[in-house]
Amino acid sequence: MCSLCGALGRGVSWEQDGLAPAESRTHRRREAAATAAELSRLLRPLRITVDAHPDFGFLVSFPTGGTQIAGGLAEIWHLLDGRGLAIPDPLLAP
Amino acid sequence: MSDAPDLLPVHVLTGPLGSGKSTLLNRVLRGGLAPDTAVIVNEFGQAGLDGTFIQEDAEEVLVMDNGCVCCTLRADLVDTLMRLAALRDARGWPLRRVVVETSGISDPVPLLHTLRADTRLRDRFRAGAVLCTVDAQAGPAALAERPEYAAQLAAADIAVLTKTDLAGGAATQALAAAVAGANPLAAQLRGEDAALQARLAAGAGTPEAAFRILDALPAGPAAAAPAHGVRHVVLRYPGPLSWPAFAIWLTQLLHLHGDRILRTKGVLFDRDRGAWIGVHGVRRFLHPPVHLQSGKPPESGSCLVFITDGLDPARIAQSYRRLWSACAEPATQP
Repeated sequence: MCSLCGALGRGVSWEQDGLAPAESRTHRRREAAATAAELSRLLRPLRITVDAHPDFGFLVSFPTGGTQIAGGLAEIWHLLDGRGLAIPDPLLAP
Repeated sequence: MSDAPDLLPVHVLTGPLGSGKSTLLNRVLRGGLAPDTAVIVNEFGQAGLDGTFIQEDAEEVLVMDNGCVCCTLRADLVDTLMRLAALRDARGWPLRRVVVETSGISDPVPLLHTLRADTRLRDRFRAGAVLCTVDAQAGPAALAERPEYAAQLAAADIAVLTKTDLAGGAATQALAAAVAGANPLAAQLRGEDAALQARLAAGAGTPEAAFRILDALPAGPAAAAPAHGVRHVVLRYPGPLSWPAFAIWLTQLLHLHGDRILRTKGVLFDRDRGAWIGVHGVRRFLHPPVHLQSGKPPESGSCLVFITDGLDPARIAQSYRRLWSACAEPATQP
């Protein structure tokens, strides 16, 4: 098992797991949309776009036309790794 | 750490070979925790740890002796925990917690991952506290003997200084300073069995208590600890952050550099929720984020601590500053 898979929560991604049961579905959807928009901005140099999906996390679209589902952020990084794409390193200045 | 009281906490007792793990565990069990505590002893090699002695006290002791839990025994661990769950259900056993005593060279992180990744376990158990015994008689030099020891200590929520009666006051003080340098996030206990029992009985503390240790840490980088290249940095910035931006940044950072980031812990004020959130990770393992009922105003700012090994924490500080600067810009509505 890849170690990062352990970061995924029970049915939802780490970033949403445990945050607040009382939070409205609307808030979660809005937050997922904001996350997808920020990811698309970050991954623009790789020509990758990310869309939030209300039921299964994120849809990651690659420049070759392929699309993959990711349950959360950790899964997105794994998808990129699996395709040999260079994930932007936050320790390097833009 | 999670807000799931129905999930049994699985505490991990780790620490160098000969640092007194079994002795501590026996004392704690005899102090009153035995009836509702299950103990899993992970033996490595032929040398028995203290299974018979422990068995006198614990309701159920399971020994996994086919290897080191961090290398080969994760499937065994799953089976062992599910056996415990079945015993609990069948007997009506008021089991409240599980303690896994690892071998002296085990890495506790794979065990934590197993608890989250296995679909059967995560409906019954949750990661509890990591306890690390540190031998005061052996002193700070022993922490540098093996890289595993530095990793074990960095993962600890509670560092228990053992054999302090043999080491004496000055040596114990020196060790306490070394432990604080290597892991400022760990609460230190010295022969305070009652305090440890109370913490374990309470599920290792409330979320608020678990993050309160951050309040006392001075901002800035610390000098290298005596164990390998272990260093830490305390990052404080005023004002709120954006949770989505922070979550992307943290998962990206840990994905790329998690081998060298031993520990992450912090609190931040999410500007969109208007709430404080606690985050806590051991290498690439992230506990679920926690909503904190903090009375602190948003202006008091976030605090984030990283313990690294072989990675200059100043680089993380620079990166975090860039994130914070971006978050300080007006939020865009999705």
